[in-house]
Amino acid sequence: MGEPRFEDVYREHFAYVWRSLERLGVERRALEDVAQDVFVVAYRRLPAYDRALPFRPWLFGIAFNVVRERRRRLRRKPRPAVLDHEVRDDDRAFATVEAARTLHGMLARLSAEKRAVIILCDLDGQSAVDAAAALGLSVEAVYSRLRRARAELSRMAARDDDEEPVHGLARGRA
Amino acid sequence: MSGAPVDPRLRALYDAERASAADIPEGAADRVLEGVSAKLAAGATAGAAGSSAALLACGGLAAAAAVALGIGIFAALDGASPPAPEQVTGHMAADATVGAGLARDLDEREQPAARLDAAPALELTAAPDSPTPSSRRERPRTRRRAAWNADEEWTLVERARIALRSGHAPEAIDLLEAHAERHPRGALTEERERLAIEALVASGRVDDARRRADDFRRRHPGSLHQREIDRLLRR
Repeated sequence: MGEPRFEDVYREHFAYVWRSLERLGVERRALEDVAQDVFVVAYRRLPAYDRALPFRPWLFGIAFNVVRERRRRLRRKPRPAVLDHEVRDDDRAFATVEAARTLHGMLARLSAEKRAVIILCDLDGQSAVDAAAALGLSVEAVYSRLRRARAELSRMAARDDDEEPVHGLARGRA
Repeated sequence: MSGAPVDPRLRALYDAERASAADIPEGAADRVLEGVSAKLAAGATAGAAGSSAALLACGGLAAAAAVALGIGIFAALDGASPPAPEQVTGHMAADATVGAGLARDLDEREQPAARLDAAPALELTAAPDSPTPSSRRERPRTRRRAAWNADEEWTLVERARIALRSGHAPEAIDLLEAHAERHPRGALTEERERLAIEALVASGRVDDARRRADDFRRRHPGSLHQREIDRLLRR
């Protein structure tokens, strides 16, 4: 087999990158520009892609680094992505949308490292080994961050439920 | 995913988040692809600053100074066409990761534990057949060598770009030939070829440029650099 065509890779993974950037808290108005940066890096590094790694964690690692570099340049704390979301409530079930917004807001309150492991391991379902390779961490560090991040999120979820029981979805399944 | 059990409330939020589709505006995929193409065509000039910063941060003063000096010269000579702000943003992000190879190399020597800010592994010897995993796992030594190769590769292409923008097309051609010799399948192969075609045109060797462009089209079908190459040869 020959080298994969970049455009094919792009079409296949564009939505994943977009979703990852939303989860990483990139403001909606900046999503297109940041997605461009992610794919510029991916394009240049595609020939160097190590097939020992699954592709999406590799791509997520690039997205994570691009977002972090961007934040360093902007020199400001990330704002919760939910503030920039224009959620089309008419298209989706309200409870689902509300829960997704809640989770994105909670993710935005985590440190970048904890957020990354939650996205890769809990939302994308990647193994700790693949998450470690993608983020340049040891497997132990991934587990440690994951444990602490889940604990923080659980506390936030409990607090949100106490303060404003809006997402009955979460409570209902508990 | 193994590890500590997930709080049921949290799990419900995860499920809901996964069930909600990404909210992608109409036409965004095409616009982003256009933007990627434009940024690649504009080259890596602005990103050099990011790479130099990475080198300085890890103590590679001499290398960083050399690159920074080159970029300074280029910036002075290229005043007529400064990159757009959004291009600066993009290339800083792009090339910081390429240039960060040396930083990662040194960091690994000082800190055995992997760092979160390390980019995914670089392996510059073989192009992938497809974006699927294999059983091979990279060893640290290979990683360091690859990181060094990436940095040297990037420096060669940047020097060629600087020479070209400074009006020294023959020197740029020499540097690009050196790159082709040392990194025949490097990560910057397509950029090298585009620059080489531009340098040949600038040297008045239009027939050679056309031959190289034909070869490029055959070897890299669908490349994002193709549009820029076509534009160069239409002049």
